[in-house]
Amino acid sequence: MIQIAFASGKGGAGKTSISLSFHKYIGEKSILIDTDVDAADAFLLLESQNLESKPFVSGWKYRILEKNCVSCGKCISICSFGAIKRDKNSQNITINPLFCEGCGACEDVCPFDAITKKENYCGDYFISSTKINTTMVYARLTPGEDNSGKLVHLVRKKGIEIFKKLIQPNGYIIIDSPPGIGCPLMAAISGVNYLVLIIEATESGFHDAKRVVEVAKQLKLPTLSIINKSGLSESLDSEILLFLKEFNIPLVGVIPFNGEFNNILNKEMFWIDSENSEIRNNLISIFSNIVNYIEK
Amino acid sequence: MRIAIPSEDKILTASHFGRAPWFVFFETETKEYKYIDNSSHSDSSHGAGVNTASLMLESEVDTLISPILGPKATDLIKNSSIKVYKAPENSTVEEVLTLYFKNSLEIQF
Repeated sequence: MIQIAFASGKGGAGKTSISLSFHKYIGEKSILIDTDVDAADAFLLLESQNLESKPFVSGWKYRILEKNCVSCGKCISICSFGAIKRDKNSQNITINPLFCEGCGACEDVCPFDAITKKENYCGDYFISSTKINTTMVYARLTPGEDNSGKLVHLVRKKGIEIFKKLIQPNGYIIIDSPPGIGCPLMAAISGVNYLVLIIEATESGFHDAKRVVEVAKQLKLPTLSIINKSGLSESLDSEILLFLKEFNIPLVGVIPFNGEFNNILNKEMFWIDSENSEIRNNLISIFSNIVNYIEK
Repeated sequence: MRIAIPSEDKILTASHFGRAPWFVFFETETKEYKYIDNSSHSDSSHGAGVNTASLMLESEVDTLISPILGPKATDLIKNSSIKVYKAPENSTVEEVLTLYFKNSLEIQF
């Protein structure tokens, strides 16, 4: 089982498009785990059919038990999030679930046992079959809920369970990572066999990629790199190459900036299936470089 | 001496330090095993690594054998007297202990 994660730090650098094409390239020997649960989108291109879905709960939401509440207002003054309000006319106290952070301070101070809690439903996670006859595990958050290491860890764990059931032991688990370098990214990449860093050749793309390198170094992850949207600035392109050399990160391929990529996605196609043979062949050679690195 | 190993199910080692549901404590003097429930930390949305690192410090662990620690857990544990070794992937707690006593584990810090 080879776990390979695609990460970039910056969003929109090409993580999903590249990991989807890599998934198509490896085919039935692989499963895809989309850990970008804030904005899961791999299912759009994979036209996946959900085989199994389960709700995901995390944290608590608090609520007033009207029959016990005497409207004393102790909870209002303890709440740091301004989530508890008194109705001017009826004097009734209510908790706004959108503002409630689930800390439980109100429950602690209430002398009348008038506050109750319920586990917070944040979204669902899915095991699904894709149009290319593979399996994908992903999750979708309810709007307003924040992504967490807990959810990413759960999605990854499910993916590994499915992999062990379905795929030969020398297959691939391909992880499409969330953006950023926080808790969700850590949960997505810790312990993978290979990290493929996608560097968008722009100022912000390069800046964020460097931060991912810091995390990868801490986690001692073998790291490969792809430069995407190259050619926008010659000086930046050479700066990126120097950086990769300095940190000893092998470059497995460069994808030149090309408006064509948007059109390919608009046609609901994988980049690797592009009618443009230059684009197609470049991706195939990048992916074969990755496989050579891993299987050498 | 107390050795701590993160575990999935009290038998297999865990793949992630902070999100390990269990910790196995092995006491070298008495050869006793203790199983510590870490679910209150491993189930938290954020801060699993930091809180699990605190558990190691509070439990007076001497040696930790674990997958690579994240940055925050590293900061906490590096400043303590706990010695940290790397647990090989997909191994059992027993195998890890055997390797430890053979001196064949890689040191994290």
